[in-house]
Amino acid sequence: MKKTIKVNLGGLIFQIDEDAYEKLKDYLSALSNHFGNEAEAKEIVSDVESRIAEILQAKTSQGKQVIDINDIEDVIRIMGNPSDFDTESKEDKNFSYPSGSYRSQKRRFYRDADNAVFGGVCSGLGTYFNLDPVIFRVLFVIVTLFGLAGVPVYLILWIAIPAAHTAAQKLEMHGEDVNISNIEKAVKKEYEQVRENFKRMNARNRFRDFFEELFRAIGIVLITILKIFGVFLGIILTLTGICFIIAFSALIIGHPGMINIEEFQVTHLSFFMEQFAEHGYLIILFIVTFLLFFIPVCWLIYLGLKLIFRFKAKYLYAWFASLAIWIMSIILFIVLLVLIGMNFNEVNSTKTTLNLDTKNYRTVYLKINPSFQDQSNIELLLGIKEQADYYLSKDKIIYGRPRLTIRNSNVEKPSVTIEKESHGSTFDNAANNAQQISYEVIQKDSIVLVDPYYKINKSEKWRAQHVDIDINLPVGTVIYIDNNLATVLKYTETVEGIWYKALIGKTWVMTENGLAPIDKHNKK
Amino acid sequence: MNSDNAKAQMRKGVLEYCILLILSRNDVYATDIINILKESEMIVVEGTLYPLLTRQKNAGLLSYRWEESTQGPPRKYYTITETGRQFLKELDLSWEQLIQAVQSIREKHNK
Repeated sequence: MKKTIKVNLGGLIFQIDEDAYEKLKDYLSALSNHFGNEAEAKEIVSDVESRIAEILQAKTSQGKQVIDINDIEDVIRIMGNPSDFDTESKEDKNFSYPSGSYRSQKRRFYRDADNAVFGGVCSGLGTYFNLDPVIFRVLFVIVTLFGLAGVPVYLILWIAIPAAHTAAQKLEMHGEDVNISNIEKAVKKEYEQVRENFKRMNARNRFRDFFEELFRAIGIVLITILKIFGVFLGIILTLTGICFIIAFSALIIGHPGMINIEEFQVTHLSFFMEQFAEHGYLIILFIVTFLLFFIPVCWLIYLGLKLIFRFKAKYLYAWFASLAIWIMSIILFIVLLVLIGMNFNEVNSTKTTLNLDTKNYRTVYLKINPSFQDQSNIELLLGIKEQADYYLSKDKIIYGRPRLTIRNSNVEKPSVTIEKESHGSTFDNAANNAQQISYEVIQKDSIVLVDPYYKINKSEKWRAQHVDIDINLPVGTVIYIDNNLATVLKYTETVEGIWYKALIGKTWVMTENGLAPIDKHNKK
Repeated sequence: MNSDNAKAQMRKGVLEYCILLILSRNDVYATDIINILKESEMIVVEGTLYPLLTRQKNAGLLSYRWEESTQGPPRKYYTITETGRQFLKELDLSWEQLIQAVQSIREKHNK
């Protein structure tokens, strides 16, 4: 039993055995290889095809249904070898079908489907490099274990590289070894040719030929350098792509839910992301971001591999498809960012003022409220160095660090101003978000207690809320700033030469120019 | 050098002339030309003809038209052009000269 294939040859339909089909295909491709790639060659081959169709038609009209390999051998005998086609006697007289009709016997990289485990990539690599395919299989497994990079590389090779199906392709796959001695041979051959031509020069125009040959020699050297450079570049591109994939997968798999880039740190990533958008959106955003990054990396690896192996490109539509997907990813990415960004469109704030009583006390003590709950079991959620810190408690409530400053009030009455600020989709929405922030400053006798964190109520999402506390003191007020205020105290006006971080743990007095050391003031 | 090869080379040389000769009588399609050439043992393998026809066509010596056939797909019918006829005349002349030249050499040296 044999499989048959239906072919259209010169406008006629034939049922043809698979092996006969391969033979015919090889013959026709040998023909077109022989005549080159110009329009003329195509015309010749199509004329020959029509004639073959005619001959085969004569065979089928004798009651035969399927064309077999004997018929094809007949046809080839009638039509002749490609080398017989030439009317002008050429130097390549001794070329004969099938092996000689291929322009080059250079080895090409094909997938070896006969010895395949998955797609035959490793066995193809093995054949190409004359090594045991097991070496490449192990390599792929190792690279896959270290960051999954092996999988995309394998898939790219699988898609991009044709399998060796026909006899011609199998011949090419096993072509001459790609090794130093063969490269040497090729270079030597070129050199011999050049030398030969130099010898012949005597009979001809010395001057012109010398330059002709010189340029030719330079050309050969340049092409060789370019080829080496191409392979080198290919290796660099491929490795870069693989490194990208390893880095990317390390980011995803290594620390799920954590980003730490110098001064920017996010933990509980999934929770944090949910603050921006609904879960469905996030999955799309994640996929889109992944594609946005992954597709160009695939192109990079593909280009690199193509430069190294110089295989024949197949599946051109894969390029267009990936380009289309990539462009769609960009558009979707922008749309999603805009949608998410809409929640942060507007800023609004509310201000509350609390009057302080300082007259009855010689010194006011500024401290963190020790009864503030949840202080122990919260973790950093988002930290932007010197800018903002947000925390997450075990029961999924977001806390933020307020920013406290102490300033000269320029009025008699001391007070505390608490400004709560938030972003929101609209102005009103932002105001509402700001009102949902809980923060308190209380006075107990001479002690002013400030909360170490402001709390964003559980029903609320993260909208870049902020709380600023201004402690406004009239000139002459003496204040002790407790050590535990270090985390909330931000820039505060002081007399020259004192850094605001040095304010803690000491007693100060308010002057026209800001806080000043108490002893100095007393001396005056 | 074997004699078969020499014969093949000789035949190939005059093949172009023969094609023009066949076409000068009437328009034919490739298979007709093949049959005629095979009968007179001018060609051994058919493939030889096609590159020649294409080159002669591209040189402006021939042109072709598609004609419906009762037995299959349309066929390419070749016609000799005016340039082709001029060319043929020249070839006629040089063929005569060639025969005379060969003849005279044979007479002188084959005795």
